[in-house]
Amino acid sequence: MTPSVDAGGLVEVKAVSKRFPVRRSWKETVLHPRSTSYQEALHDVSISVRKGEFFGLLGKNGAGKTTLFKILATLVLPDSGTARVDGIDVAEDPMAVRRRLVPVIPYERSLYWRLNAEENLKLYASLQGFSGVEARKRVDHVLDVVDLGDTGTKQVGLFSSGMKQRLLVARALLSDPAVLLLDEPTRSLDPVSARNLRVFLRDRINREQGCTILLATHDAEEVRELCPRVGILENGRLVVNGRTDDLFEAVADNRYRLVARGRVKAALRQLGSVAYLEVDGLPEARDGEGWEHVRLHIPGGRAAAARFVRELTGLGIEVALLSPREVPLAEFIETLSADPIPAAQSSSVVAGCA
Amino acid sequence: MRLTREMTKILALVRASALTALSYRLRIVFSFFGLLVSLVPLFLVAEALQPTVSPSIQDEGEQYFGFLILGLIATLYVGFAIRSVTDGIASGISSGTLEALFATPTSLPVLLAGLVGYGFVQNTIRSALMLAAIPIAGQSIAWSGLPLGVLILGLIILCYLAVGLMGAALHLVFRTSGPLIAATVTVSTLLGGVYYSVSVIPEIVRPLALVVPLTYGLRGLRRSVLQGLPIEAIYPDLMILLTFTVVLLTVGVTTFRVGLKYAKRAGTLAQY
Repeated sequence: MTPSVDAGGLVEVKAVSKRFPVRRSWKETVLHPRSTSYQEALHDVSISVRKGEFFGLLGKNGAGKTTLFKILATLVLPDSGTARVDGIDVAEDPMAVRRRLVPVIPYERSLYWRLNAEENLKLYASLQGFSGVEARKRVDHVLDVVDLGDTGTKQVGLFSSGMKQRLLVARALLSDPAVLLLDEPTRSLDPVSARNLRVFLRDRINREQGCTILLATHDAEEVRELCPRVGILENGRLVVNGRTDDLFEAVADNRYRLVARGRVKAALRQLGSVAYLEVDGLPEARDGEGWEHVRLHIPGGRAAAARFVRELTGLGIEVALLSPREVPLAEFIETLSADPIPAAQSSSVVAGCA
Repeated sequence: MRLTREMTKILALVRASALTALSYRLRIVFSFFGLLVSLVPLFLVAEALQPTVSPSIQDEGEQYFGFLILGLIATLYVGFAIRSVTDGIASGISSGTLEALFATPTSLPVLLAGLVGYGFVQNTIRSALMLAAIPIAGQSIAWSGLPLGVLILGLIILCYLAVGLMGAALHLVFRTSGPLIAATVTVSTLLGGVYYSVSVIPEIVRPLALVVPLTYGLRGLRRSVLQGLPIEAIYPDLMILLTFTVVLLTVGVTTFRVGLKYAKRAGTLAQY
């Protein structure tokens, strides 16, 4: 099969559905031995990820993210639909897909704990088809890349959870894959290591090496920092697929946080009466220097926000900060999962764009 | 070139298993110490029983200690062949290594060979030590018959590896091999002529021994290694063993492929 990168996305998922048999109770098995119950993991999911893209996949636990990743990694076969990597069908030629796409298996137990980091990586370098000097070079390189260069000869069982996580990422990077699947890569890392890994993934792997990355995560910071585009899975269905900033802005819904000093309460009442301002609550906190913190709803986008600041300062109020409200990821997912269409319309989001 | 690359992969997997096993040093020491110690009582018991069993093993080497050692070596490989794939898959699933291995561009036969390779090396070392006990005990080995013996042992291993593949397929689908492996090992050990000649088995169950591949393999093995008989003399046993091997391997490989496909469909490849 001829790869066809330019024909569409590097990763093309079209109308993929997958259901798994569910374990039944003893009673049910005895009463109805021939029937089988199923749980739907994916329903008619379509996603297209372009070459070099950093795509985020969000969803609650059990939404279907891991199943989708396993299908792409050729570990699970879809019931219907097609999944292609670089034009190659994952079900028809899994070996060719595995040469292009590498999943970061997130389980620490998938490492050989009695071996050291170098020995672990040497094994996988061999399985990726490298040997001798080339394998050695790649092992040294990826160890440096994940900052484990000085612990290469240390037994993996003695590694901290974060070090093991980095080793799992290093293992996936051995073959310079065209596509990398990352399932919560920073979940066991301390904040500094997590940030370093994010910077490394974005700058070195995605931007410099041009590696296409699909990231499943529960971290809002990670999504905003890394993924220009995200998809949200809800009960196996892709409910939203669009630009991350647009989606966050849509969910934030013109809600802002104001830090101001002066007769803030009175000013807000006055401005609220001209009907373009909704105050969620009157000054909710005041710090030692007299700055008051207020949450506001200013419909009308940034132009309305600018007008609000102008009028507020015109009333003699000192404005230190007016910033869009940070949307927690849980709220982001829940809002878009529950009501994806209004959010999508307000931010030019395309659902199921493939 | 491709063969070299595949061999490199197998050796890398064997090396990883060997390094893991060797990191448990005391376990290795105890294992070989235990083997050497157990050979002494085995020799004494064999010597004591020699007059009793001698008539029944006339055409299988005559010396009971050598007869027993070859029976135990064959059992060692039978156990390895029948359990190694299932054990490798079961431990790979429970540890999570299997999913990581399956995600690499490595073919299934290469992965399986790599996963069971260390067990094979370990058994070969143990078998060599056990075989060396025969001349040390003052009994004779027909060294010229050793290559033929290795060939027969290879067929025995392939034969039981096929049953092991069926067991592994059952494990992939049902998370258990059921009674298949235990029953095959028990029946083969009791009826295949490991501890006594098939000729002394009661007539009522003796026909069952005819459907046990080990019966033919062990008889051929003893005749070649202990008596030094040429291939012509053991040709019938060899042919029957070969037929068993071809049939069982075909069924075993097919069953395993079906089981693997089911596991990929059901998503149970990496779930315990």
